[in-house]
Amino acid sequence: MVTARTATIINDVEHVEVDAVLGSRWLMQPDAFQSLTGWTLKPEGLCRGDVCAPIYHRDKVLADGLIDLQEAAPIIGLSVVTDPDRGVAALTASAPARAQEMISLQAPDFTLSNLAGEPVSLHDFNRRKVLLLAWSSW
Amino acid sequence: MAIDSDVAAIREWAAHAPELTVLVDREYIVAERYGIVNVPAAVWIDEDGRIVRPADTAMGDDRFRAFAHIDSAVHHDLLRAWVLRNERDLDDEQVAANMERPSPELQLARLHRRVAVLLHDRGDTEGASTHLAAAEALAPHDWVIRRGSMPMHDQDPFGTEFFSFVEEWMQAGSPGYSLRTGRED
Repeated sequence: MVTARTATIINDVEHVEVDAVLGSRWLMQPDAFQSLTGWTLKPEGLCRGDVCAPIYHRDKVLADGLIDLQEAAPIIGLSVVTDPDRGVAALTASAPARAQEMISLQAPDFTLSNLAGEPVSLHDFNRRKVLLLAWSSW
Repeated sequence: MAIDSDVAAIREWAAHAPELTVLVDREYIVAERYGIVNVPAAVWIDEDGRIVRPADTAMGDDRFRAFAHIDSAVHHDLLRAWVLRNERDLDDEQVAANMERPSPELQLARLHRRVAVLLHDRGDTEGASTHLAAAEALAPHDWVIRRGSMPMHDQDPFGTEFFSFVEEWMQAGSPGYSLRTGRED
């Protein structure tokens, strides 16, 4: 019998510890997948609110009631990299989903740490012009 | 906002401008959301939280002018006009058209880099190298991926590897940032 172990998923906001069954694939219980992505496994597919994305290749996406993260991510508009050997995966918007967000011209909110380790968000500068300047030491 | 995984190095630079809010984007979270593929770059966001100028190279001064062929005053003048007189040089359609939309490969490269940073922090140098190599192969012309990873490889970001990367990037047609604000070539 396969047993789940704790693994780390990096998303756009934080590092999340999840239970996953890791071998050649990265498999997750539907409830763990749901708390990670917001999408629920239902007979009609992966669903969030009123929207359901059909699963065309159920044999690839599902395995003994578990969800294959690598195969399921593109169905719900996510890019994913999984490293089951090291127990680390990373998720973000797929290229078309991100492009769609970008051309809306709505500045996405974010929170990063300042050098004192305090969180600072874009919305802290509400009602002001913001010059977001990207630089580096390299 | 420093697009950089080396907080100690950022701290040294930030000490020169104590009046600025300095944020650290070690995992390229904001870089990914805003399409930042090279630094220094600027994005303008207005009072309503709308992007009114997309990511584009923005030099602080002309110290790299001979190398980058960018007149820094062009962006400075545009910025001044926007801040002081609310004048924009681009309309919404032009902003959208010049957004640095990612390819599927670039998204994967960014994710590999995030995994590499985490493994690097855990002391798994080999794992970090594997994922950095994957990121670099997927996004060979992205400066924040390629040049930004040189310190993690113990390479000099102004050394031999950098100049061969620049050569590669130029041969590919200098991709990235279609606005080319202040470009002299």
